[in-house]
Amino acid sequence: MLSHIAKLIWNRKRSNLLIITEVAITFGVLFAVIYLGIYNYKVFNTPLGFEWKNTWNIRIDTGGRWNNETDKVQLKAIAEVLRTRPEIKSADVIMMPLFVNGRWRSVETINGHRAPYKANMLNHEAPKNLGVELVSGRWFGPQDDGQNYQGVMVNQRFVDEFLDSVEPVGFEFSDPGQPEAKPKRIVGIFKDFRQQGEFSTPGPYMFFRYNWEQGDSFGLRNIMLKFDKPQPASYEKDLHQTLKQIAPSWEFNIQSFKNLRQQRINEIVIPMTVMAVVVAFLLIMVAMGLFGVLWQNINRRIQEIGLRRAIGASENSIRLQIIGELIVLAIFGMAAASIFIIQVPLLNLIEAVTWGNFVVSMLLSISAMLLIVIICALYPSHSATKLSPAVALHYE
Amino acid sequence: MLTLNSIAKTYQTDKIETIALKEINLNIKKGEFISIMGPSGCGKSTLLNIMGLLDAPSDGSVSIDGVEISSYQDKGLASIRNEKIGFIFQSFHLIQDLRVIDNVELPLLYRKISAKQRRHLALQALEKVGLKARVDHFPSQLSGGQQQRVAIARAIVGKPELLLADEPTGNLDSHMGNEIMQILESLHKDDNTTIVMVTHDDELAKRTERVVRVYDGQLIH
Amino acid sequence: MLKNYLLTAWKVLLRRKFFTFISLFGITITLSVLLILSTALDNFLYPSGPEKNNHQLLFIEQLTIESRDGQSNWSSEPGYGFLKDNVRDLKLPEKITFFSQATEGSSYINGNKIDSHLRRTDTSYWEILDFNFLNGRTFDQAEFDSGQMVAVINKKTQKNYFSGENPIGKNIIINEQTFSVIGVVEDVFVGETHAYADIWVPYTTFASTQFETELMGGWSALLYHSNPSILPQIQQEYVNQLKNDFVTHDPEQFHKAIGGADTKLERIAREMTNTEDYESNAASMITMWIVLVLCFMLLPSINLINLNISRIMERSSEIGVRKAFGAKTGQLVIQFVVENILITAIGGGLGLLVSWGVLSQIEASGVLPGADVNYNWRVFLYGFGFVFVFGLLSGTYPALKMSRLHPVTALKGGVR
Repeated sequence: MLSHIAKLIWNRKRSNLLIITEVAITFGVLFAVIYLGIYNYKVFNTPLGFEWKNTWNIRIDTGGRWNNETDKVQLKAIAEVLRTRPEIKSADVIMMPLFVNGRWRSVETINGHRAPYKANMLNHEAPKNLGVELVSGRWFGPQDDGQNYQGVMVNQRFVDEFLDSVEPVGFEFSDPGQPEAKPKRIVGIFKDFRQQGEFSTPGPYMFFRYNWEQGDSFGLRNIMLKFDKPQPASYEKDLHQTLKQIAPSWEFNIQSFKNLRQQRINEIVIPMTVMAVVVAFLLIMVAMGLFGVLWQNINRRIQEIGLRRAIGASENSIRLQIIGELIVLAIFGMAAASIFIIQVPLLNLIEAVTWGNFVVSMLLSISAMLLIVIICALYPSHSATKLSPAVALHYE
Repeated sequence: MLTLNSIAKTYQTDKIETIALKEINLNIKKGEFISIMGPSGCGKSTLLNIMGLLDAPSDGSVSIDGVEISSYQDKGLASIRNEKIGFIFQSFHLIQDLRVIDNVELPLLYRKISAKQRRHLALQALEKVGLKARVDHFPSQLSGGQQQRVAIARAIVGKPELLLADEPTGNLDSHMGNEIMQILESLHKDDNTTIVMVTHDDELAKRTERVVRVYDGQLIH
Repeated sequence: MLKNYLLTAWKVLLRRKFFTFISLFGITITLSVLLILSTALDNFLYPSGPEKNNHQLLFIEQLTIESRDGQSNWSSEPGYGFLKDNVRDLKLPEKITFFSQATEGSSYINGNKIDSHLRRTDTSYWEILDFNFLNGRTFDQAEFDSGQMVAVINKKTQKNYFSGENPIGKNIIINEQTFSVIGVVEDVFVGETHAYADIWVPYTTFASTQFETELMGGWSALLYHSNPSILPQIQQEYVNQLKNDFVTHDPEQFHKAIGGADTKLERIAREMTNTEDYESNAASMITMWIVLVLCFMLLPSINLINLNISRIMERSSEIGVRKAFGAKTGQLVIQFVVENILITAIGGGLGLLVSWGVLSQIEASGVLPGADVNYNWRVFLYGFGFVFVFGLLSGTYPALKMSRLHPVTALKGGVR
């Protein structure tokens, strides 16, 4: 029976071409949306690797470029003053702040791999205070000062991707572009640190240590304050005044991570929602279109259906045939679309596309498409068998 | 093999009731070649439809091989049509998008027969109507007479005991009509197939064993 | 004659309510989405607020600097130092203004925090951009030169900070700096990126003067000329300045400057296509937009084509009869195209209504502060264009197919 249906559709390929095209495009759209949905859902539920509750970020605007000689002193002074306050559990500095779009990216050759990773620089107490989990090795700290290496820490993903064949703790590597710099030594491995928030793509990450005495030529402009309990806005005013007193020429912007995180989520979720609504309407539209076309097709084929019943097809087999035909059509369309879609993971066109997610979204989109098609076919297939075969045979 | 017992058929449209057939009693014996004649609209097509189980009578009963089938549901009727009855229509009713061979195989699709066996039987049937060379053509590439021969092949491919032909030569010229008639006659003679044929044509009717006349929905003997 | 066609078309649409409904649904949704997008774009390109004269403006807001060895490059907004050395002395512009990006400012009142956007400007800023003052005035040259702590605020800030009372002469504390309010302006739509802010103060009030030497970061410039046809010459003058007379204090690191003075459209193009060049790549962006819009219209069009073809097939015997009685193919095609345009036009009308509803909801919801998203004649023109393209996309093929229908096959209704 299936080969019979395939034969029918193949022989009617010209008139079916548009329906197949429509299914193919719809399938492409459906796949993209489902893939994005699954991907973002998974990514969103991947642990951040740090705690953001009751933590505020103070962004510093020095009014110009970082002047390391004077600015590192002022930064240290601010942190020390803040640490004396009883309600502040910790005050740390970080180069790339949390929950923002900005990131620091680097590419090196490590252990024979081309290794792109994201990095950050923070003082050695910061990871602990942020609740970052140590997997193996130790935290970097003052014991790394004055050594013949630069102590760095990497996350588990970094190890999984680039250091599969070696013992990661104690592994040293250096950048051939900077022969005078000390080699980097991995002193510890932490679980994860997804600086850009829940919707960012998880990947290799590296911590550099900020040394309060040496400072940094680019400068660190973010102070993170962890409190024992939520603080009101009046506290923020007080804090702002304190900061201004220590550094009158600097400007400060204080935001809780709670707000920053929410903003970051909204930036992704709102456009996604708009897109989902548009796609939903698009799908409804296509479903209704398919329904209409199918109904019309059935009307044109009433004589054929009468004949089939005359030569012994039961009502059920007619219904099955009509649904079957549409399913085969849908399969043709989906196959055509898949030829294009499969190029994405095959050629690695988009880095974030993985086979696992790909297969799951493929299966889901196929089921969704088939469901739409079957729903579209139900009523027309029912109406096709409503007429008695004798009437159907002479239907004009 | 087929018995119609006081069959009546009425059509209900809005308020008007049309009587198509009334009080029809007819017994068709195995191996008979019968023609049904009558003017347009006399109900002969309706009668054929009831014989072919395409239409249910409003009253009376139909028995095939002594079994009363009025209680059968769609599925049962479909399988009787498939196994015991073959149809030939005035307008051929070939599926334009299928090749000749696929059209002939069509009834076998609704049986549990392997694809190879289907093809074999279909080729046999086509050979019988002399169209083995046209297996891979589409209906639109054939003449009217050839199309009707394909339709006959389709009707006999399942080896039915009863062949119902609704004005099989109505759309053909006399030469082609004669060819079709010859095929039907040989099917009757060689395979002992029971044939019921509706026709307008007195000449053709004379070539059958028995002529039944319908007038105003009633049989005239 | 046209009336006759329209009348028949109308009857056909009424007779096939189901298909009319499906078609209308698709057209309406598609056109609504396109109209909403084009309204947003229109408001962006032709703002109704202070930047409404942007056809007389050029924007300098993106700059790429390369080091001498070509190994490193930086890309960001220009710094004040760059503008002072390279833009201030351009000869062709009638007016030039420098101003900072809108930065976040915090104010605290009655235990609540008010976040606002603070922009530091000069005085010609207020001459070039056409702000709608509700109250008071802006700062004058003397106040600017002496670094007076004065501020112009918008209506929203007046409401949040002063509970809507007259703020003139009162103080407002932002980032722990105290300013005296001298003027109130109407809220500015965030899409007018250079006018938008909540509070505007003289840039001479900066706590530090370090910004004055910075080459990169945080500043923008507007170049004004009353005659828009002079703008290309100004663009050339600026590019020549960068290419030939680039002033830099650190020629090793900051060796070469690349950028352009862009019109509003070119600005968007530069941003969207990530162009770091003297030219802005506007043409490729417009091509990209057109391709995207056509792609978006493709699916509903195919849907409509499918429906249309089904409708024709259903009516093939009618067409056969008409042909048999001498109707010319051309007439039938016209009839069909009229039907299609009629339904597309109705869908377009509904689309206008729906998108108007959505847009006014967006405006009322306050998602886009200061937005004045409304139709104008240009958006109607876009809508008309979309309807036309859509009708053409979805009507031509079916009409062609119909015109090929042979009367005999049509009569039999047997079309493959």
